[in-house]
Amino acid sequence: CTDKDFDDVNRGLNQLDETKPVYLLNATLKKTYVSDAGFGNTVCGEWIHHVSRLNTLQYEYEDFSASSTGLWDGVYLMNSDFGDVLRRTENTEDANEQSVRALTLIGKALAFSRLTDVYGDVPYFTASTFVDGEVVEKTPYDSQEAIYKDLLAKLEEAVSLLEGKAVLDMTGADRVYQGDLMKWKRFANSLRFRLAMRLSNVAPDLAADVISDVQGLDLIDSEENSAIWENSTDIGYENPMYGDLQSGNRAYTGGQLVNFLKDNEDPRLAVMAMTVRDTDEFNGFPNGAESVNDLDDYSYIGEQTYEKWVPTPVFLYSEMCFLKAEAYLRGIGMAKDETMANEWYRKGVESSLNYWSYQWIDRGRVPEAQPKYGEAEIEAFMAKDIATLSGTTEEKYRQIMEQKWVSLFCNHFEAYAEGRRSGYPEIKQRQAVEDGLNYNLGETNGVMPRRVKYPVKQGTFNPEYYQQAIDKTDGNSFLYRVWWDNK
Amino acid sequence: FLATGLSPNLANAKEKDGLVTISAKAKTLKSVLESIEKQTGYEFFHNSTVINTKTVVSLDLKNAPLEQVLDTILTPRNLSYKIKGDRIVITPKSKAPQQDKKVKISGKVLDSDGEEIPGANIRVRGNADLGTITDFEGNFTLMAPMGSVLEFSYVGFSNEEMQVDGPMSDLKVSLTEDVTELGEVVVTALGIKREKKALGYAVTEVKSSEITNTGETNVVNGLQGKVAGLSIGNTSAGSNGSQSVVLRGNSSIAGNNQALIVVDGVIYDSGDFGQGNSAEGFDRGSGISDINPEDIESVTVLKGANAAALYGAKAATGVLVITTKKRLRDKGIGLSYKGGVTLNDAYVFPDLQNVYGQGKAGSSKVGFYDGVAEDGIPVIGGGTKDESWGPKMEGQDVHVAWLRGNPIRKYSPQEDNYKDIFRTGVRVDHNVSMSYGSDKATYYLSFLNQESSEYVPNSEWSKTGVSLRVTQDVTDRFSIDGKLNFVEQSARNRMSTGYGPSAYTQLAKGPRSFYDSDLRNYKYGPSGKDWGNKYFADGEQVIWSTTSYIGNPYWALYQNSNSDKRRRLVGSFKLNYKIFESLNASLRHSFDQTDFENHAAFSEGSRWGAQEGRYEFKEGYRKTSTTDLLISGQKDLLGGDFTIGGTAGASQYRRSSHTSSFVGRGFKMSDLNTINNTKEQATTYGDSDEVVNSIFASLQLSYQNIYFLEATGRSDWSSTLSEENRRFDYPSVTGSIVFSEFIEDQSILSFGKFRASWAEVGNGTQAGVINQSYNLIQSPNGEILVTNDDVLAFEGLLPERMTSLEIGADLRFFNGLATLDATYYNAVTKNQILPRKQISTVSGYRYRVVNGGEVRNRGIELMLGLNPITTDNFSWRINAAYNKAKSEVLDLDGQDSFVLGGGKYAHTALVEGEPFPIIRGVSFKRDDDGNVMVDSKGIPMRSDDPNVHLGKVEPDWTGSLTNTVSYKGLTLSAQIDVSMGGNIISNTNVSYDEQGNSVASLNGRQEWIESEEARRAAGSPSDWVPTGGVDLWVGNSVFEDGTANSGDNAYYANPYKFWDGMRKIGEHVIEDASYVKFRQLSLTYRLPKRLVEKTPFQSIDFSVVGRNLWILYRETEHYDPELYRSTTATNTYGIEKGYWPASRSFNFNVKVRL
Repeated sequence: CTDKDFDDVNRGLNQLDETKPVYLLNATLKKTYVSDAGFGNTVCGEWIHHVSRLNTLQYEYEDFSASSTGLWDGVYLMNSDFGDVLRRTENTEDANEQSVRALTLIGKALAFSRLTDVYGDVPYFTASTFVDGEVVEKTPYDSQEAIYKDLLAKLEEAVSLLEGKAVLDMTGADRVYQGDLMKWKRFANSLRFRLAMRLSNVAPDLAADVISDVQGLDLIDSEENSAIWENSTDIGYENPMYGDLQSGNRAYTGGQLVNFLKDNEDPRLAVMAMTVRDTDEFNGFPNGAESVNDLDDYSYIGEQTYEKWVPTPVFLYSEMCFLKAEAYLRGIGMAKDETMANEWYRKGVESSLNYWSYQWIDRGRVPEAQPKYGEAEIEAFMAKDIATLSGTTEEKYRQIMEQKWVSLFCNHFEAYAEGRRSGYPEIKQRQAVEDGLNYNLGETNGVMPRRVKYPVKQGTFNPEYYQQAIDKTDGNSFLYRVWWDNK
Repeated sequence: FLATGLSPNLANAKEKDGLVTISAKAKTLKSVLESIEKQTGYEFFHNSTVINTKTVVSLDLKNAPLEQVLDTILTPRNLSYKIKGDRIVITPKSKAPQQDKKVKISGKVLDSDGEEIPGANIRVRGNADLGTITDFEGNFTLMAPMGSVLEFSYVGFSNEEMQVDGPMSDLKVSLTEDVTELGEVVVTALGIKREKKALGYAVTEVKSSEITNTGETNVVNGLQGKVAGLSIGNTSAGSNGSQSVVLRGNSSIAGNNQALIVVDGVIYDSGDFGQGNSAEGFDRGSGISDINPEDIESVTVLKGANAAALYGAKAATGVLVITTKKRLRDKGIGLSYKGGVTLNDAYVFPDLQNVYGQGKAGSSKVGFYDGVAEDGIPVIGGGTKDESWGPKMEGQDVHVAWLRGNPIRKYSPQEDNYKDIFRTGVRVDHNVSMSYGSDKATYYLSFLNQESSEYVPNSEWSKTGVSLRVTQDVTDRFSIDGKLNFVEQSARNRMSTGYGPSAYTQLAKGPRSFYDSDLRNYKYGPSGKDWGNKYFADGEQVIWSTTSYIGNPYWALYQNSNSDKRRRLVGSFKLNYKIFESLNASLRHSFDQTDFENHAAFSEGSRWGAQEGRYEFKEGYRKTSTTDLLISGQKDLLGGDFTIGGTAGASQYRRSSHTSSFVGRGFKMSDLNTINNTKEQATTYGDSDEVVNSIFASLQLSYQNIYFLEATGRSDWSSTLSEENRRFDYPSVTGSIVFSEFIEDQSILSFGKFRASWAEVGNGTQAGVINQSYNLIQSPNGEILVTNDDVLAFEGLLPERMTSLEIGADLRFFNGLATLDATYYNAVTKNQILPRKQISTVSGYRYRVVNGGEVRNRGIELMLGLNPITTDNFSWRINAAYNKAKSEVLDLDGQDSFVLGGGKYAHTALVEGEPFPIIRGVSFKRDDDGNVMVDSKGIPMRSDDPNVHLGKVEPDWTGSLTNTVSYKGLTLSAQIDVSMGGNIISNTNVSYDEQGNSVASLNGRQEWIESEEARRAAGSPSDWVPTGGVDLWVGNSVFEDGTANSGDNAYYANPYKFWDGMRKIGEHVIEDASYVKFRQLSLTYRLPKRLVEKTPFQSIDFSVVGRNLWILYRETEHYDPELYRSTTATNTYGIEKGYWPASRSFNFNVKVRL
């Protein structure tokens, strides 16, 4: 009574049974740079006062571990693709497959560094693994230290796999480097620099080792080597910030950022914020305010940050410059040298001004990208005191980190991580009433959270290990500091 | 061979000279003889063919001699007897000479209403050749032998007998509708007709007229309240939205809970075409609405697995077996026309205040204007200021800042501004049915046309259908039955459901001071001017808020557009061959295909994700086909005491579907909403295919028409399971005993049947579930992106199993004066396939397909009928249905809960040991003594636990009561439906409160405003304690430090903050969903014969029907609580998420028959 073709009937016309590793890699790129970015935007971006949105739990410093788990779920779901590729390319001799493996290792390092930076210890080594053909559902939380070390090792492996390779055909899916493997190698080395610097307070020796190791290697050394994900107007490929506009809860530019830019007469203000309706004024939104009289009295984020075509910065040359400035200033992995620090600081500032002017964008393709300011404004800004390091070492350090904070607009994960690590910019404790406005104090009594709470769903699906992790983080506290956040 | 007597001799009770006392009303001849045996000690002997087991005797004799008694009961039945010793032998009368003398008998056969019955059978007992049937007017003429007995019979009516004592003309024979159930035949699984008496499970049959009398265009709405255990849910999406049809409660955690619909033995696709329960969705209706109620002859409701075991997997949730008409009259041409007009009106409106107008409460500004213009006139609105926390509306002049040019308006209550959008919806129906019948063939053709406008402007739908059915006896043994049905439905501008910008909730949440005339002008016209504000630009939407989720419903109805169309063709073809007199074989093939297309265009400037304009288009088909072969037979054994029947068959069921969905974003040219005009486009395709092959058999045994036993078995092979698990078998056993046969005196209990059944049903899963596969991600430029599916498939999936036990009784008292049908059932569904069991995403997968989960459904169903008064001209009938169902989640495969739907503060979930589903969420925070705690501002605090058990969705019980009174041709009927208990998560309630729109939000508002004025007058001291405000928790709550919120310590809350706090407390968000509803009041009138006779028509009927006229009782503040079941999905069950007001309808019909 059984038709021989029952299996075929059930298969469906659109079912895909097999695939190539490179196609999986392609999808992970899109997920990392498009899908995951949303969480950074709505959590990290608000906490570090880049943006602001009324009436969300994260905005109120309230527990959102039951609802907003986009990053957690996104990274782990993508990890099944990472795992799939890494298992299939282990010890491969095929040059293309080696490249696919290398890029997958880089992707995994970037994704998991974001994840652990936000949460602290997370399941890592057992995530998306199988035992006797059964998927592992109960996964222990691995220490951030172990994870970081493994990520650094993964990047090292990626760099060595990319040795001597030029291009990889990724069917056009590589919107960062268009398959240019030499650029990917620069990105991988720069990522090692970034991760090492993150550990500079907690594991200074390891940090110094890695930084001294990579500083002589190919790094992102110019704006054209910056890692930038190109968004487009195609459905599903829009700038993740664009979704905001559609969701009904539009983002405003954070009050602290607007004031900082205003104080320094920074031309980037015109890009990062819109003028208040019917005026020429910029008015940043006071992060945490309970309610305001009229939302239209505040500056929405600038259209050149939320429009569909606006690219997503992943690792800009300016960031590399600020990392080097910090390494010279603090003498990490290289000899202390405040002149070099200033030189790299100025390069960083200038490069960031360049980036946000969008002068580099092909305006034949993106006509909306008309610069809001030009060379003259950049030159003028570079001539200001703010563009040169001055004062004590700590003051110089603050200058570097605050400029880095501005330059990391739309790179919310990194901005939040570096803000915590360095203490700059200073995010003040909210008071119940300030300047006639009521503020949400939330669970932390107005103190900026130091991490994101583990998703409560872990309590349902992975209860024992979840409990251990809860116990270790003072009851899943917002104020528990992740391993590298020890300053 | 003489059969033995009915009871053994009682040696000591022989009184051969004994007198007999006997009183029998419609008792079987057998039982009367038995009674005589007991009284006299004689033993009856007869040949099994002599006494028809269905022969009924009525007599009343006291102390009569045995011979007189026997003469009375046997002679008219053409039987003679001889007494030999202890024995009485009964034999058929030998042909006596006078029997050859025939006389002419003529007359009419009528029903109890005096209506002629065409096609009634008249038989001369013992001489089949002499019988005849009545003509169209119920007339008959025949020659019958003197002394013979005439039997009059018609399906559904009890038989009548008459002895021929001489020629007769103008004889009037009245047949009464069968209330003793002896001959009642119902359609059961696979279209098999069975005597209702023989069934071991509950079935409820609803006749055509009961459905068509409701004036409903949808057959399932016509069933509302008529069947215990059947719950019908409608969305608030106008008069042609989708339905949920659930029998005996939800049982499947992740699968289908909807009853199966079977039409003329063929599985009918009743699925919906999009229910739109999210933002800007449209309810496109469901397939069940394609059936023309006028084509229906009857609906049999098979409530559980027990009745449906033969249908297999898809019937575990119960079946509605619909039988359509083959002809209007038995012979010749039948013609009927029914025309109707239905008026539809909104009537359950929210309870809104008319004191305070537009104003933003934001930073402690309850009762304030939003500024003063240069001309000194105050300003209201502008930007996001959309609330009604402004000053008192007293007719003063204000500038309206959200309107272009900030015009001046009188600030006065616009009491009906949330009602003005409604109009009266009008539906016009035409139905023409024609039929032709002969001895050998029937032809039935019907045509339906409905045009309907909704109760909001510019929204309408139409339906056109044609049905053709032909049956033909080709030879004595071979017959065919063919059917074709084509239906086309289309709708334009359906109302948006859910909570999107154009849904009703947004309108009712609007400021209490807006003018409908301002809103009705939904779009700013061309001005060529820069108004300094992009919201006032030419072509922009006119609306009171810049918030993106608030829109103008008139814009949605006039500027945007949506439409859908579907065409459905259903056909079936059946060959029937009588192999022997008692063995039948049939082969049937049927198909059912629906092609559909849905459009939704949002103009540039729409809200919520459609600012740049969007076009959504979806088209596809769904089709099913079934081929089955059935062999059935029946045979009397052991002289008729035993009847054995059986059915065996095989079938193949195939279902496939295909959809292609298009989304286009942004329009190249504005004001042209077409697909080709969209800028960015994406298309996705989906398909699925499923085959189930089955073999099945059933065996029925009955003994003396008192004991009945039926067993069924079925094996399915489902393509949705892997090879090892593909086949699953399941049995059922049912039995019944007509115990009233054992009761001597049937004057009280005239009929009693006890039934019991046990059944198991298996079920496969959905197509493709067992296959692990990769997904291809949409990419615009040819990039290839592939990802692992987030569902981890399980190849070894086993079929689901439902085991159901059911017992019940059918009781009829005082010869049909009262009837009671009682059922208890207990069904357990285990091994439930959870195609999306959530797992830790750390595993790399979001879901796993598993077998797990167990749900039990238990309940009691009662149906009571009373006929307190029945006279020739007047009758009163009472029908009541009662249903108490209780579900329980027994196991969740190791998870302690399974969240179904809902939001942050209240959600529905499955929890082990609890009903399906319960409501959990944030409760009030209480101290150890149970007092509600308020914060220092007098606002109730929230519990720390966000999963407090707050209530359940399932009602405690439901019921209905129908009274029908008839006087001559006039019939008045009233139906009341009741649902008690159960909760609903009410999302709009709290937004009316928070918005300052509800009457509830008036509490303490004036006092608060006065207190605020006093505070300002005192120089706004920081330690100010309000002198007035919301006092709902004053006197019955405590502060965090334990002091009571009362007396001098009382803190009167800021109304805006209070309601903002309350909205976050799930315990406050839920409402009691109980209701008592006046479902129907109908008046039908049949024109008297003497008037009709002057017309060419045979009958003329008028009817007026009011549906859903009043809600006599409800606890919900703003809406009809029946919305708790507004879609078919379990994850929206019990959740109210924005709605259009419930409507009532008035239906006027005229029906003529030719």
